[in-house]
Order: sequence, then C-alpha cells, then structure tokens
Amino acid sequence: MRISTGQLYDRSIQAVLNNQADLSDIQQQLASGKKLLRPSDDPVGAAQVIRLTEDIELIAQYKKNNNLLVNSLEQEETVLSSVNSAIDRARVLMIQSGNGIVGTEDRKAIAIEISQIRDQIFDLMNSRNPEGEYIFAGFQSGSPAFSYNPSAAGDKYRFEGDEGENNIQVSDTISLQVNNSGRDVFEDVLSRLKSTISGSVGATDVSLKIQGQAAFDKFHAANYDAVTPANNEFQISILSATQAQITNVGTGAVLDTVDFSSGSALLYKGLEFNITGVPGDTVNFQLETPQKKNIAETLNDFVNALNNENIANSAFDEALTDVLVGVDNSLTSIANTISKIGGRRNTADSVFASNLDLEISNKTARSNIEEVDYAEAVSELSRQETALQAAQATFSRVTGTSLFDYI
Amino acid sequence: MSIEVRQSGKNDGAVMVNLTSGESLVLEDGSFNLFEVNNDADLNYKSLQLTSNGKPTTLNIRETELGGAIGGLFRYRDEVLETSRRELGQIAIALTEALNTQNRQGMDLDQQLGGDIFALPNFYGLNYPDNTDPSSVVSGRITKGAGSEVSSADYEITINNVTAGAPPTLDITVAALNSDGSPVKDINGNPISQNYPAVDAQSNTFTSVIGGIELEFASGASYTPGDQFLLQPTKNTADRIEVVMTRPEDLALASPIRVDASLNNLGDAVLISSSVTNTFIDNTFGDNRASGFDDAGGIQGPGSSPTGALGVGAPAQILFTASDEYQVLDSAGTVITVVSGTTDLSNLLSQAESAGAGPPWPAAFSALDDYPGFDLSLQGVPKAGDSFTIGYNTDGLNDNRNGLAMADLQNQDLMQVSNSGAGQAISFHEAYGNVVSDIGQKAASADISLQSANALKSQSSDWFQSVSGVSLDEEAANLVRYQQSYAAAARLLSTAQTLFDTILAVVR
Repeated sequence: MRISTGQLYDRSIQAVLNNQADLSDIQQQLASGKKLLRPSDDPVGAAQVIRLTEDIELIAQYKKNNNLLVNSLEQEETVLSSVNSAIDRARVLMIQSGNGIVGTEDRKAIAIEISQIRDQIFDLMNSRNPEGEYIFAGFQSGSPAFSYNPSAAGDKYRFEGDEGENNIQVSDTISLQVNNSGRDVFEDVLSRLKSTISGSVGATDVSLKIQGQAAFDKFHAANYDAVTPANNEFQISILSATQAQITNVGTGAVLDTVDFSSGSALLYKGLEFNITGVPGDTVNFQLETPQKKNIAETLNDFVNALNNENIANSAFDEALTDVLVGVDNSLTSIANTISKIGGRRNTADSVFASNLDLEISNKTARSNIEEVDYAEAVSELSRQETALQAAQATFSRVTGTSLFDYI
Repeated sequence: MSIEVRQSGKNDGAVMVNLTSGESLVLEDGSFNLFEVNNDADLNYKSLQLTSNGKPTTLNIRETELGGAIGGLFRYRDEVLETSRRELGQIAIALTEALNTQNRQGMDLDQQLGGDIFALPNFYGLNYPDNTDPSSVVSGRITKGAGSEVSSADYEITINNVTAGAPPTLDITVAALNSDGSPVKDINGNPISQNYPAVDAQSNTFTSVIGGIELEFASGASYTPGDQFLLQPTKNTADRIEVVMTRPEDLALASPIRVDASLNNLGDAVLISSSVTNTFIDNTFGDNRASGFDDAGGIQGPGSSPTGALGVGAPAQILFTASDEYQVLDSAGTVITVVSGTTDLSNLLSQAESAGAGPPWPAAFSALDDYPGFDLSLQGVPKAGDSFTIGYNTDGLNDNRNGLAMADLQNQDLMQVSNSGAGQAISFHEAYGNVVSDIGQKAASADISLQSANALKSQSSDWFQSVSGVSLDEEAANLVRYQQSYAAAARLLSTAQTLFDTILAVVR
C-alpha cells in the first residue's frame, strides 16, 4: 500500500496515543487494586460484586450477633450453675434436718442457713445483664422477673414476667434463642403430686400415704382430669375379706381389683392405704390439683416448717418429702435449661465456623471478579511501557527519514 | 447529528442537505428549521420536530436515529437515564413501603403500635396538550402495603365516560407505558391496560388500580371524555422520599401481641410462633382494613369488636377441651367458636375462621379483610384444660420479633423484576445489582460500537490517505526525475547549439 506522509504521522501518533491510554488504564488498575474500574468493564461481574458485598456485610453482622448471643448464653449459664450449687447445698441441709436426733434449736439453725440460700437464689432469679435488664423476665425485662410479697396469700414468690423469648439471627436461616423465660426455668416446676382421703362409709382407721412417688406420679398423670373435677375422685369398695375394687367415681369405670386385708396395708399405684373395714364399706380418695412452685417458694415453705416449733413429726416428714421432690424437680428443670443453652452454644459455634468459611469463599469470589492480579498487571504494565517507548522511539526514525536529505 | 450533503440528481449543480435519516433540511423553495418543542404531557421530556418556514408543516423526528452528539444524548436519555431513574424510584418505593409496613405491624418503645418511617410522595397526573380543561387534576399515591406490586412503568389514564351524580362517576382506562411512551406488554405480548367502570370522582376518595397505586379524581364532574393523563409514579420518587420518623423510640421492634401459656397447663404444647399481619386501627369498622387492636393499647373486648355492642370481643384466649378440640374465647371468657378434630396446631385462629362451629366464626369478623390481624401456632400435644392467653405486649421492651422481621426484609423477594408487574419477584439488592449491570451492559456495548466505528474510520481514512495523500518521498523522487529530464533536455539544447556552431563554422 502506498503510504502518504500525513498517514505516516497519523499512524505513529495514533500508536503512541493508544499505548498511552492502555498504560493509563493499567496504572489505574494497579493504583486502585481493582480491575473492574467501571461497571461497563464487566456488567455481569459488577452485579455479582454487589450481591457478594451484601453477603459479606451480612456475615460480618452475623458474626457480631453471634458474639452477643454467646455472651448472653454464658451469663445465663453462670447464673444457673450458681443456682444449681446453691440448691445442692440446701439439699444437703434438708437431708440433715430429717435426721431424728436434730432438735428444735438445730432445725432453727438449719432454717437460717436455708433462708440465706433462698435469698441468694431469689437474687439470682432476678439477675440482670450488663444493660440492666432482668434476664429471666421475658419481654418485660424492665421490671424484676420475680417479686416477693411476705403478706401475700398463697405463693409469696411470684413470677411477674412473661414467656417472651428473644431470638437472634446468626445466619441467613438460623436464629437462636437468646434468653430463657424464668417461667420455663423456675416457675413451671411441679411440686409433689398428692392424694387425700375424701370420705369413707363404714370403714374406720382410714389412712393414706404415698409410698412410691414415681408410681403414683404416673397414675396421676394418666388419670387426672383438669376439666371435670368429679373424675378425680376414686372409690375403694371392699368386696370380700380378701378383695377390694377401685372405681372412678366420676366415670364409673372399674380400674382394678386388688388384694385386701382389713387393718393392714393396701398398695395401689404407689399409694399405701390402711383400712379397717368389712365387705360393703367404701373409702373415697381424690387426686389433688397439681401445683407449680418456684424454687424460692419451695424453700420458703420448708423454712417455715423448720421454724415451726409445734409441728408434728408426721407433718414435718411430709414437708421434708415435699421440699425434696420440689427441689429435685427444680434441679431437673435447671439441668434441662443448661443443656438447652449448651446445645445453642454448640450450634452458635458451628454456625460461626461456617460463617467464617462462607466469608472467605465470598471474598475469594469477589476478589476473583473485582480485584487485580498484581503479577499479571505489573507485567502488563511493563509490556505496555515497552510498547510505548518503542512507539515513541520509532516516531522520529520513521518520520525523520526524507529523500530531500539526500538531494 | 449527522448530516448528509449530496449532489442533486438533476445534474443542475444544486446540492441537497438532509439528515442521514432522510429528512431534508434545505429545499429548493425554502429551508427547514430544526428546533425543540414539547409534544408530551411531561414538559421536561423534550422531543425534536422539524418545522418548515415556507410551508406550515411539522415533521416528528426519531431522535434515537439522529446520530451525532445530539442523537447520542437522546439515546442516552431514552435508553439509560429514563429507565434507570424509574428503576431506582421503584426500588426506593418498594424498600420504604416494605419498611413502613413492617414497622406498622410492630410495637414501639412507647408501647404504641408502630407508624410510618418514611413518607412517600404523592404524584400528579400530567395533562396531555389535547385535554379540554388543562386545569383538571388527577393525583395518585402508592397503596399502603402494596410496595411489592409497584413496577417501573408510567401509566396513561383515559377518561372514557363521565356520569353526573353525587359523587360523579367516571369510566376510566389505565394503561401501562414504558418510559418512551410505548405500551408495556404482558407475557403474551398484549398491551397491559385495565378498565375501571364507575369510579367515584371526588376529593379524598382513592381507587386502587394496577401496579399498586391508588388514584384520586379531585376535579369531580369537570372531566371530559377523551381526557388523558400521564402518571409517573417512579420517575422522580427516589429523591423525594422523606424520613418522617424523628424519634428513635418510634422504631417498632417489638411485636404487639404476646401469648402466655397458663401455668396450670399439664400438656406439653408450646408456642412456636405468633404472627401479626394487620394493625390497622378503626374502631368504627367503616374501613375493611380494620384489625382487632383498639386505640388504647389493647385488643378489642366484648362490645367494642365488629360484632357490635352485645357481641363477642376479639380472640384473646385458646382453651383446649380435649387434645384435638379447642375453644376460642374473648377477653371476657365468652366462647367465640369451637374447633374440633384438629391435630395440626398451626395458625389456630385461621383454622377457627374456616372450621369453627357451634357458634361459627362471627360473620362480622370474616367481613373484614384481615381480622383480628394476628395468629398463633403451637407444637406438641395439649391436654384438656390447657389454655393460652393472647394479649397486648404491655411492657414487652425486650422483644425483638418485629425487628427480626424487619431485618429479614433484606432476604425477601419484594420487588417486581419487570415493569409488566409479572413473574418472579426479586430482592432489593438484586434489583439494584440489575440496574448497575444494565447500565454497565449499555456502556459496554456503546464502547464496542465506538471501537468498531473508530476502526472503520481509521480504515477509511487510511485508504483515503493512501490514495490521495501526499508522499514527500514520492515528490522528491519526482523532483529528481524531472530535474534530470530537465538537465537532459538542457544538455540536448547545448549539443544542438554546438552542432549548429560547427556547421556554421564550416560554411563560413
């Protein structure tokens, strides 16, 4: 092709300008660390970067949430462990007080110590977090979870909060419970299930005590009717000198026929009856309404029994059995809560680990799209530089030659 | 713009000047001028027309085919700017409306039901130049809670018929338009438009139409059939959204209801979730959106609910009479309805609405859109006598359920993808990513066009230069050649001179 002189200049300067533009782009990439300088460089990549950045920021927030969650769980676990060990100490004292040689004065001394423990536990039940919120009060964390009113009829330690449970988001799909309501941990605890004689016809010397609590608990759970009170009354009718029949008064259903001997123990589902009677006599007993008491109330009842100088031995034994069952139920509830907290902590830990992995993979994906590969970019820079230098060096050589110089 | 200059075909030496798209700029009998006019309802949306000086004619020009700098600017406006700002407006509306809706479903730190966080601007119908009365007004707003239905389309409202009366009614057609004024097509390729007969035309009466917007025809009977209005809900919205919540206490992070299990429950049923879907307060029940919340921070009791003075109140308690049967009671303990034979304990109140019997769910409740506006789900096996109380979340300051729901909006698909308002919804971030990548794609394709145009140009100029350009070396060579032939010719002359001299000397 014929090359005109103007073309010679045009082409040379064009080459220099193109090289300069490329060099400037590479320089910008190196300086900013990004190869996506504007969305038009990679439109699909730009949209991906926006979504990946959103994910990375979400994960950063989830990590903060996770720390918050673990802190709260740790605090709650510490409180519950303290309650646990306090109850253990109280339990030792209770068993000690049941010893026959412990006299009235000793019982009072034990009462003083148990009441200290009661106060300590009550204080722990009203624990507060660093923000001053009561951790067991549910949603109503601005006011104490439990109140004490010495003049109240019935329960003196009462739950004032609600069942509110807060969740905290630790990943896109998993949110974990932060707090446990005091209602679930302390208040929703059954006290000992009981049964009483409600009447008898003909029989004399009727007595009833619970001899096997576990067997009776099962019987109670299976037969107690919260809607129709009449269904909770049962009748023992003596059929013969050796047999008695047990029926449900409300429904009329015959439950069982048991061995009977007048004046000696009749065992039925953990209940021990002692009935003196002849065939035709009947004894009625009823299942008492289950009661729920928190640990402070349970301990308080026992402190009252210990302080009562005139209490009969049988009544004290009854109070001791009540408190032991109540304390054991409380311990079970607290242990359950601690294991729930442990489960949540484990989940939180593994979610935290998977969040870290996700963060790394997201960041890698983003940097693959968006960030510059320095080795590649630097070598590209020197290549462009060489090209520019060559273009500039050849400019004068190409344009400097003229036939006129030789004429 | 690109202008073409050609020799006239008549071979009379005349020159024709016209646009590359064909319109002549200079004619034999006069010249055409080019100037800007507004031929659209939107006065800020200019378009170009050619108007003749000699003959009173006007020609509409397709601006995007104009070429050159003006053509490029028009293309940028039509293809990038107008669509992107509408999409941005759409994101702004969907996002703020979703946050507003969620905040209204919560309870704030003052223990009141939440309000709006943002104020969305109202928008006004623009009169087309052909309208009879240019002072007619049509205004619109986004329907509350309908942020996810909003598309980026404009709407053209046509008044088909006006019927006098109190209030006067209008028959209208609402059609969706793209930003360039062409109709939006649905998936079958048909233009999207909808007729609304007998729409009340008076102030403060809003009629819901397509696209999650409501219209108000405040001019009453003064419309004329054939009047058209252009509504642009998303065009200028992104920068007109305002924050109206000034107190941080008004953020409603708690849920307004609380469900408490009775302490005497013996079964193992536990609450797994409670949901709030409607907190609209209207204790006169004139509005179908009314919910079971009263304006005093509570749930409606007997006498104040839609059932009237002697009727039952809103549901406030669930009482199991068997493990598969429950009663729904109001706050005074009156049975609202009984559901029997259910094993699924999810959404107990909506089950009661559909399956409650003896007495059935009150008709006055079902007549409202979403009453009472809350529900609860249990898990486990309840025992007879177990009860669950639903109450206002008084003092529930530690509750973050609504806050979690608000944070979860980020992960939800609450945006329309296309301006046809159909198809899969997407999340806010996806929508924003789409806007960015859309602009990026257009810029990238413009870049490629530029590069190919440059290549074409340099190739052509190369050929041009190659043929008609001056090469100094060539000229130098020619110079030398001509110089030498000159020298040769001169030499010839001197040789002839010598010859003549010799001959003349012989004869002398």
